[in-house]
Amino acid sequence: MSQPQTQTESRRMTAEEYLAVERTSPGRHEYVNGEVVAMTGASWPHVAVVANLAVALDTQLSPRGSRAVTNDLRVRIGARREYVYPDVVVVCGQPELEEGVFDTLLNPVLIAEVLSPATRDYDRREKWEKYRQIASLRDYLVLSPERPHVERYSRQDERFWLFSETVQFDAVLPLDSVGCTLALRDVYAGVLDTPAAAPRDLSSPGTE
Amino acid sequence: MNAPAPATVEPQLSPEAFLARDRAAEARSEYYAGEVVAMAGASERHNLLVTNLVRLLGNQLQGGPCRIYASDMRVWNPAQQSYTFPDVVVVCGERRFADEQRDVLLNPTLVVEVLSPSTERKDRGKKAEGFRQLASLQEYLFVSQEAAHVERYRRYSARQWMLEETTQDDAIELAPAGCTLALQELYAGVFEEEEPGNPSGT
Repeated sequence: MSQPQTQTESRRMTAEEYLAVERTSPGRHEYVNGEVVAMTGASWPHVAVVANLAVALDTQLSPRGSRAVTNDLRVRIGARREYVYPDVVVVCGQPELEEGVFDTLLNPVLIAEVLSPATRDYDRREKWEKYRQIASLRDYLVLSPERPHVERYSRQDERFWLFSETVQFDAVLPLDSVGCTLALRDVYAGVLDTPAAAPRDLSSPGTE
Repeated sequence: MNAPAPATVEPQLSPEAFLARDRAAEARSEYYAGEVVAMAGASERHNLLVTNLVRLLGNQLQGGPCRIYASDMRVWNPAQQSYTFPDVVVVCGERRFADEQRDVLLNPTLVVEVLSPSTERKDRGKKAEGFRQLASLQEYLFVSQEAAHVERYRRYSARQWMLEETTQDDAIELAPAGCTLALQELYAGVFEEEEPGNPSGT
């Protein structure tokens, strides 16, 4: 996801207040734990991986009436009404949308987040913990924009998620939940085209 | 793990040089492929959770083939070139150490990290990635100190792990060690900030 500015711009609101403001706001904000968190821009590798991933999935999904969309679609989490903008969301069949106002999704089947150094911790911890409450969710992917690295959580039943990580540039992930395959080569096209020559670590000291 | 001091920048050390230095040092550090990360103290809750873990697991493991180490056992990961100190380490059956000093364990069966705000990123990221590379490791746990919440990752195949989370009054099974961890017991007293029976804390 893009960077939330937790320090500078967070303030407290009810879910209703947040939605009312957000629907007319020029910028996007997430609403988590009662706090409104502004989102800002992201790095080139981040947006390139997001675009590659959405295209790779949507190409396979759209002929079947499903879609992969990127981070302008708000997703509601659980009964506590928290709202986030995941980097990539897959909807199979008809999207279920909140309150007849067609801008907030209730039934994502797959959510993918591309890490950026500033949000790594927030994504990996808080959001994943919350995403697990979405009953429709079957797969959660976390991608590094800096090296071939995809972490995948695949729902087995109410309580269990199967975790696997893929680090091979040549790997192809079968995403059974959405009937797609995902080649890391496609995900990282134009970002990490030649793995041997790719920088080992673009992150600043101390990130991951 | 305990809180590391913020990003210590030091010249790159070889694993051998790091180990020699860390063995002689008064304060512990972790080592990731040349990067040395100093470790500091931890909160009361963190300490209580580690103590409860050792007591609860220790009672069940007593007399069996498993050994339990708290906070001070180094684990070497050759794939990651790392030395880490998990909060709790359990090894069942044969214990393999790097050398006769027996202070660098090679084959943990189970490790537990009590999460701290300052180290959660590293614990869940690089440290957990290292755990998953250890062929001996069967399970690893993340224990929250914010709420009664434990995540258990159990090895499912060479590259797959099953995540199960447990909250509140539930219990979690630690199959390789043959233990059960009731969260009520694990978190007993952890969220009491005052002396028992002395609510004013004086």
